[in-house]
Amino acid sequence: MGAEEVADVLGVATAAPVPREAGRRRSLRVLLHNAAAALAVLAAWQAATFIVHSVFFPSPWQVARAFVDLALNGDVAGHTLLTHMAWSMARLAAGFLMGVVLGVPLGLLMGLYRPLYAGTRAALEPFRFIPPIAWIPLTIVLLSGFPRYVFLIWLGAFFPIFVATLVGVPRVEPIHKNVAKVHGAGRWYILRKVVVPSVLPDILGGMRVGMGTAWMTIVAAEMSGGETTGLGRMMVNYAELIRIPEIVVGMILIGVLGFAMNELLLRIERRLFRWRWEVTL
Amino acid sequence: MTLMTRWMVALLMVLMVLALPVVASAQKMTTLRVGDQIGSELDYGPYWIAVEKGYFKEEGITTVRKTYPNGPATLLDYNKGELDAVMAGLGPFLQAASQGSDYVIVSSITKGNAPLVARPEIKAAKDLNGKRVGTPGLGTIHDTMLTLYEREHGIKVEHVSAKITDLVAMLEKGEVQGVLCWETVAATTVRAVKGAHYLAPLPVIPGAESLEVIISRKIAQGQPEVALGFTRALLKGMRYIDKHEDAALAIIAKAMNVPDAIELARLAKNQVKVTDPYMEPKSSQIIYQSLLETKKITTERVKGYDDFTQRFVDYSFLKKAEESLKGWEPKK
Repeated sequence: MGAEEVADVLGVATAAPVPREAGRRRSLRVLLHNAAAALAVLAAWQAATFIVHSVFFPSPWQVARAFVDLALNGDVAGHTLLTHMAWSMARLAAGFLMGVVLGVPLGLLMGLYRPLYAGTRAALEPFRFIPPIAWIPLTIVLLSGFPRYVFLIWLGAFFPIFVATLVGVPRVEPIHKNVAKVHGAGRWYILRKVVVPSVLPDILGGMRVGMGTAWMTIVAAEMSGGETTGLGRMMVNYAELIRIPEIVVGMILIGVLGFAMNELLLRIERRLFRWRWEVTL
Repeated sequence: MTLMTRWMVALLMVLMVLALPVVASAQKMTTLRVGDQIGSELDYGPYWIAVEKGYFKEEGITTVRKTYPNGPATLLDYNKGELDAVMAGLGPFLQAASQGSDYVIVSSITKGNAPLVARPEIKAAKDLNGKRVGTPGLGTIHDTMLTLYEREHGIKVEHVSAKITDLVAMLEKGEVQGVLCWETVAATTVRAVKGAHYLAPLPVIPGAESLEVIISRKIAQGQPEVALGFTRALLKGMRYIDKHEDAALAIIAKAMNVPDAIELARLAKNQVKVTDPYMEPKSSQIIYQSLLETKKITTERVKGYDDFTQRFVDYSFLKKAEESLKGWEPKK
């Protein structure tokens, strides 16, 4: 049964397949709309600088100049912009990966064996509500360097991924599991071939939320001190020198990098879940 | 009551009502919001003496203290209009002026105050080469003093910024091998970390300028009597410390409000001088030059050190205060 027949049975419309030319035109339209939105933001920012008229509220042009200066000459501490970006990304990647490696299996385990979750949630759940940045003073005392940041980011990324996986497991269609069982599938096969593919969209969704929390955590952690590199540290250094354009450069870079990573996850999601057709009502 | 008596009572009541605003204004106090940093009570000793001995009150001033992690953070709030006066380091003040901040330096308050504390395995300056040294922030006077220490001893260290209270833990763990910070945090570090010692109790420039007091230009120009009163109270505090050092240390220890405060203050007092209200010019220029070379400041708004002193340093209040305090002796 094809997608259209299924749609007929369900009584819903499906999006018609898009010819390549129309697809390119649509992509161009989306690109132009986004460019227009970005220009509108820049124009509003420039207008705000005229209204606020303060030496401490930089214009887009001042921020652009600061970016070029940082990119070409590095910062006052002698580190290049790439070094700061690379260190933030490295810490983020390590902590985020740990969040995935621990959050997904634990979420699957507790989702499949509900009594395990029910029996441990009183101990586990309270940690979810402690913001990662609240752990900073403790980590300053107990951990040093890279492990400190990895731990803090892991805390930020773990819970969204774990919870998304946990709530995704009960939503697996029982009929899919039963069909597999009827055909002689064992528990491990059902887990690999039925449960995990069904829960993957929830896991990816959790990862995107976890990515956002991880970025917020890494910046706060780098701002607290102890290292000389990272976008958060760079921003604090320039805050101490009251160099606002450079601070804004850091903010924009964090936004761009976070956006790029989110887009990457979205593309992975679209590629993995091509079997999910778009449904319109 | 006779008619005459009634008239006299009525007149008396009218006079009393008319006199009320005069009395009220005579008792009117001006509130000044003053910013400083955590753990800096010894460095700003004259301020605490002035508070405790009522010198501010005598000038019709009430102060409200706000503390910050370091000088640059204090100035960020000053720029927003949250503070009327700030006590902080020369480095932050130069950096702020370079970025468009406006204020008037009315007095210097501390010299020295750049002790370098090291772990036990660091026995000499050369042992620090290639190691990590913590400072309270890239924008602090202490970070600049570390740069000068590196140049003096021909070494290169990694400047690690952190909150001043975290630096103690970092030194203990070995995350940093040295810490250059203000007193009495340095004294606390020496006592708290086993084997930690003063590698360099004094800065490389003898009697180096460290901390100053600024007041907003709006107050300096609009309410000069308040600026004068504030400066005079601080000057009285300096003279008190000069004359009654032990009693002053006791007052400062009370302000510190930590265990063993008096011992810490005694250990720390040799690293700071808080009785000279004039900026030390030679070290101030060296500090300015160092900030320029490390690109922490530019000459876009402040053309040079002379331009800075002309536009931002005003000793007129100090001179008037000194004139008015001729023959004044602080009572214990």
